[in-house]
Amino acid sequence: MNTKMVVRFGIFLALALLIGYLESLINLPFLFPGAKLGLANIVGLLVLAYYGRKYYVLFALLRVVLSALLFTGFGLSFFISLGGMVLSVITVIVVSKYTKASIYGISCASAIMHGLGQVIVVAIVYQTWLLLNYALFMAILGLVTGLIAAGVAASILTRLKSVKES
Amino acid sequence: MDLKHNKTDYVIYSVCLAIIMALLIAFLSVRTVPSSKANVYYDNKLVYTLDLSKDETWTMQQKDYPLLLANLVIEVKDHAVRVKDEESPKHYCSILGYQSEAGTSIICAPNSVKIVIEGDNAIDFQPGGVN
Repeated sequence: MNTKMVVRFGIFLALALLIGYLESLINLPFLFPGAKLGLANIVGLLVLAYYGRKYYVLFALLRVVLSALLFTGFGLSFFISLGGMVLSVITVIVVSKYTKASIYGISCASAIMHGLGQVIVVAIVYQTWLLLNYALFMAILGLVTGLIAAGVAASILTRLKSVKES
Repeated sequence: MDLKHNKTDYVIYSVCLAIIMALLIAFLSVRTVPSSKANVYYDNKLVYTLDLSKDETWTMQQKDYPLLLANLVIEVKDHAVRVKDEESPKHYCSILGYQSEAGTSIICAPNSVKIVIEGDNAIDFQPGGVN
């Protein structure tokens, strides 16, 4: 990774943190509490496309740790995010490495597993499987938001193809 | 990475839908056991017992319970209890909605509040602690 790539990686990371933070400030009345549109995942998909799987893992890990360091702290929220991130990253690696799925398939699988990872952590912490109903809604939301994120990321990638080569 | 839909995507969408269907089936098949009372614990101490046979709304004031992040409102309606309003980072205890099954706990860990629905018969569960 040359200097230019490192700088761009940093910009992507800052952008994802900023979008994630702004999203947490917006309360969308049509969504259930705690649910987000996951717009920062658009940046994650760009990193995956430009830098590959190895740096995508680094990006996801840094995003969760820095988000906790800057905004939420290392409490329950951190572990919930970490749970979602781990399951989501594993899914992205498996799907992108072993299948010929496009950005849409990868994004949907990632979004659904991210939601399920979060619910699993909460279920373990709270010692209840009643959040199963929440997992259902998270999965449905993940499918929709995954497609939206992939659509936006694909549109950006089409327009910014030169970034990779420069 | 391909930027356009392909056949593999549809396989992935099918798997995603299968996961959703499995969750839906599991959700619908959850067994429920009705109950008549629920105990409210604050900082692991019993502070109130709700009668689930009567509709009522009980507000825990932050001035009386300083560990609360804000006033916490508990509502009993149609033999079920829920946390109607609370302040917490993820709002998981209000997301749970109405609960009526004996042995169920609604835990608001950031507020140090736990609501345990007590059983009327031998199917009681031992509630876990709030850490």
